[in-house]
Amino acid sequence: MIRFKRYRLESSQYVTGGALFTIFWFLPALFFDHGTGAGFRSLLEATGTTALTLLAFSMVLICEGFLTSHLYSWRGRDFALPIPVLAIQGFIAGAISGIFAHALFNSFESHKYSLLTRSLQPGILAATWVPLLLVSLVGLRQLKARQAVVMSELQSLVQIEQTASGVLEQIRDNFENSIRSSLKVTALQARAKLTLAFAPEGEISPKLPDLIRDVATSDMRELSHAMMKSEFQSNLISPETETNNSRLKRFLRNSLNFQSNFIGEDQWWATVLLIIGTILSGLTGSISLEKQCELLLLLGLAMSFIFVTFRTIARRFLPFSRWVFGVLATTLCLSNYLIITRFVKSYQFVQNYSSWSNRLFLIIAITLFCILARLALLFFYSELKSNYDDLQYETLKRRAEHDLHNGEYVILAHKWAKHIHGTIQSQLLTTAGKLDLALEHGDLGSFNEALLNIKELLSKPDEEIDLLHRTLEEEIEHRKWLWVGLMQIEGVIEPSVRIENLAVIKTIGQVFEEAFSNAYRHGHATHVKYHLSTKVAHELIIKISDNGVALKDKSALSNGLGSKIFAQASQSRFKISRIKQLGITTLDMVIPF
Amino acid sequence: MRIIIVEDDPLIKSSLTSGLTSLGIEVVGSTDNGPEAVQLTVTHKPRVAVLDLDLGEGPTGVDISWGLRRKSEDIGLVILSSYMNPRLTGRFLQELPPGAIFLQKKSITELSILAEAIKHAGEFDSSQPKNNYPDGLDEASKIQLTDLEIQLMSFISMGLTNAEIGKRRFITEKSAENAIRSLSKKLNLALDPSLHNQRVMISRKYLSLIGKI
Repeated sequence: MIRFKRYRLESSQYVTGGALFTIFWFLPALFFDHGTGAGFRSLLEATGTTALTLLAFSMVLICEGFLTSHLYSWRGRDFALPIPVLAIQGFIAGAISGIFAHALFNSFESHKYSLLTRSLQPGILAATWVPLLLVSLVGLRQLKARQAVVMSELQSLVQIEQTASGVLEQIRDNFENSIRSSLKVTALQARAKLTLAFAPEGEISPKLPDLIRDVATSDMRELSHAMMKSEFQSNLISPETETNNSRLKRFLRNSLNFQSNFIGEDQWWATVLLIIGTILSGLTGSISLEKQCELLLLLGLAMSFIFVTFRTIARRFLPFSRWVFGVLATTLCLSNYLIITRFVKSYQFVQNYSSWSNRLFLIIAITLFCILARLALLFFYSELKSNYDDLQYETLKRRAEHDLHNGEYVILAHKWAKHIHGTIQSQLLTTAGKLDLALEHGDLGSFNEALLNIKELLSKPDEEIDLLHRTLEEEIEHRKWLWVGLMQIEGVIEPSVRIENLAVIKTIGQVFEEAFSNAYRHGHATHVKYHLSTKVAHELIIKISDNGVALKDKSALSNGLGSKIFAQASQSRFKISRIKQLGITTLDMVIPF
Repeated sequence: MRIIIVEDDPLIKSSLTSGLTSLGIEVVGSTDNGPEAVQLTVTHKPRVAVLDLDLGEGPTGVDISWGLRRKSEDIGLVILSSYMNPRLTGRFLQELPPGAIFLQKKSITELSILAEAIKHAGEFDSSQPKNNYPDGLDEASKIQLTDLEIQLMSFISMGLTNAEIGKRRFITEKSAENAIRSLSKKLNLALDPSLHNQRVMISRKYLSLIGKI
């Protein structure tokens, strides 16, 4: 037994279905009834009767919807119907509206069809169109619901991301603080260890160099190695993200199934039945049942062949799908027209009361109308698909950001490890060497100086690394501060300037240092002004002006170390100009970042 | 006599403060940076400023001394350095302000030498900026090295390769090699390739000029 898929409906969808059917079929029905060569009065009559017929159809369909939904509700079952039931409902509504139309036409004494024709023709038409409309409305409702889910999912992801960014920042700080604390504690312990060996003032302790070497090669080494390994790991939690991802995956899978079901299974009946039903409806009641079946079979076979052929062609020539589609539409129109014309001719069929005189127009119009209706549906589904793609992209992006955050911790830990290994350990070992030398020569001064350096290093083991953490504003402020009192420096950094790359910030700092020192040393400037802005993405525009005197040796402009620093920082996109009248020297530079 | 001290090494700074105070010199303020030095000069109007030449990044002792002279034109200046000549720092310094006394730290075997220099600097008169005080610029001045050559010597003594020197000076490796060869000639290093290594000899010369050996 064939089990039909049931579609969960709402009675309100019958109202929408009836309205849509009226809108869609008003003009085609009017043309069909009015025919060609008829007068204006006939057109007015046809307009009125078509409108009333379609209204009657809608009313009957709505009543059917309400009655069926109440019936299901009374029986305590979900209001879900299979396509054949929907087709029967459509047929009943069409047939009743046809009987109504027959009465109307009779009242104008201009009817063309018998009661049977009038009832069967719209009945068959509605039997194909009503299921399609209602199923499409169900699909669209589901689509809307899923879109809402997608949107809320996306919004919640964005919200999570926004909240998480604050939390991540906090975790990052905590993480760095834990590293910093570990270093400080190790340095404190080392200092305590060394204090035991510190000789009274004025004496040289022979044990000290070896002890310092021990601190460098043991305590500090262990700490830096721990940082290089995974002992300092971030506290980022990933299961929640995974849950979100798996929910998302399921959602995507379901939605893809839904699409493939609709396109793969419904496409055939939707398209084929539409066209066959519509065309057949024009013949019903005028030819015998055997001939109807023969025509139906002929049209069905022809359309199946055309669809299969064009589907294969379209898959092979994807870049030319628009052209393939155009040829398909033309082929369908021609095929329908040729088959019906040939069929009518071969049976020498004459229908006095139908509009076969404008057969070509009707067949082409109806075929194209059916194709366009189908395309509209496909358009909605492609919209849905692109939404899913966006969502998937967003999810991947967030996952990558998550990985990046984890990577950031590794980089952070490595940076500290490098600081300990490269700076602290080296300084400790160098000092131990200096102490050895001082011991050898009995040089108390050098010994005490080295000792003081060691004490300072161990009391502030994180001082140097903090210098690397300056923001652009802090870097420039620092460079500016060094010259306070010697020159008056003021300037503006536009809010649009956002640079986080430490290497670039350091380079900009060097540029400023060079510009300030040049202005002071060579130009004897007293006032310096600077302006930082961006006009193009990833390009920083620097303008530094001073009131210094002109350089006597102009070759220094191009050969000096400062110029070379500027050239390297800006990839040679800099210019030093001087306005003699105003006594202003200006450095214009573009730094890519 | 009221003086200020500008020195970035805390030990030397405190030693100088206590030592000079014990010699009857009033140290009205000490700092390790330019902005505060200017502020101290404006506030306390010292007669002399004792400045270290190398104060880390930013302005050097020479730069600050020019700034102090702008604020107080009669201020006496004593500049201390471990280098034999300020130019040997390789930081392209300005000339010393008129009347400024340059002292190599190594030459200060007793604090009285510094006190003497401070006393002499305190007699500076901007209307008669002539300075008869002997300074420690002799040897480096005699050599007449360019800034590039001084920097080259410092790079060689750091053990840098020609390629690395070229990279830091924005010149080719070949140019660096040529520059080292002409530097060797200028320094009058009578080299016997079978006995001497050119780079080591240049390094030794540099270290002797900056007072390290």
